[in-house]
Amino acid sequence: MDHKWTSLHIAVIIPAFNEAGNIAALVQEVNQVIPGAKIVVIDDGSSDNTGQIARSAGALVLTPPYNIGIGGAVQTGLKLVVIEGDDIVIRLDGDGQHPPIEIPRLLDAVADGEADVAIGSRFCSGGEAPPISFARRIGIFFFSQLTSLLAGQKVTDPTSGFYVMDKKAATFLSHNLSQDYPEVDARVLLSRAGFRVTEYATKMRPRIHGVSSITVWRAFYYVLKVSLSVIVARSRTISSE
Amino acid sequence: MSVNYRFVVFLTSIFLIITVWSLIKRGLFRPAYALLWFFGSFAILLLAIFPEIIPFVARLFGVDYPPSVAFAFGIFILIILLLNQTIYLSTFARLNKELAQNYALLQYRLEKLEGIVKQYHAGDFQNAQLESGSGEDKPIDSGEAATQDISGSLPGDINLSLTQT
Repeated sequence: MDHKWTSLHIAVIIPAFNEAGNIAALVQEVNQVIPGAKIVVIDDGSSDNTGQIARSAGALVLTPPYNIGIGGAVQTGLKLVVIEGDDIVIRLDGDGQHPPIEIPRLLDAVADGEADVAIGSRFCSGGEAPPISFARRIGIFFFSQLTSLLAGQKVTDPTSGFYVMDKKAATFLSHNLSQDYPEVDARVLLSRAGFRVTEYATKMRPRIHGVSSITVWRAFYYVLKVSLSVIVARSRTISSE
Repeated sequence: MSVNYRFVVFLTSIFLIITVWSLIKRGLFRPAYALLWFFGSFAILLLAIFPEIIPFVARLFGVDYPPSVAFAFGIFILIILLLNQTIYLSTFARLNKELAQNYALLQYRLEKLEGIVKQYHAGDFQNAQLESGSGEDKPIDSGEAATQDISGSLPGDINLSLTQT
């Protein structure tokens, strides 16, 4: 393999909430795909031993004293890698739905300067249709229209949390990431701040163990909350300190 | 308004004022947050002393049933108080999140530091120095953010105390 990024300091941040069944395999996979990368697992108030397992799998573990939400957890990881001055930051979900094997494509795009932020999308042309429910598909279609409109660029998979970003984008998000539904907001915020965001078709896996944190009966409320949040992201004050 | 009714309203406002005041005195109510409650209580007191205010306002806005002005007034005060509470709640949620984040970051740095100290005690100076980031690795507090957020809260003479051991 001859990649431009082999000489760069790469950090992988993985927010995890009760992912004891998935986290060790994920950390090992990342280690195989990008040997030498710093893997930071944020154990966000898990009641199982996610943090302990991640640590013995070789990850650095950050442990907020209680659950601070996925946005808060990711932001904690971003703060750390910004302090430590890593060049490229990768963000994966702790449930293992983002296959590490897809990282190099996104990483190449950022290391080559093709994009400031490369995001894995399930719905980009060329991608395989993922096994998700009809209702979820409608929700994602709605969000992608809304987010495309507000971000001023085509967004096919607004809820994807599979990000590879450069140092500047990581610093920006470490200041501005919203606490509750960070991915959708981030698309609007990044485009407002002038970052070049590109989506790449990637496969994603259904979660292996445990249950997703978004249940069906909350879906409607979820749609309303995220819509409000993303509309606010359009006009919210951006912090650059 | 009947005299009895005025008296009840008067007592209510006095009761509210005394309650808020004693809560402040006992440290259960921060004065800054109590201000709105005082405004509300004094407004009720005002209505008890000058009940003509209500029919006057009713005429002013063309309200047919003057007592509804009193209700509208009460609801208005409650809305303001609730808005205020939500603002405080959101602020606290944000501060709480930041506190948890800084806790996690500091804990991480402490564990790292403890690792270095252990190596010092074990006489493994070379590794300990390497790990502390003086070599190829960027030192953890080289970034601007670190010097602002975290390093400032740590004693600056950590290195000194290390060499003394």
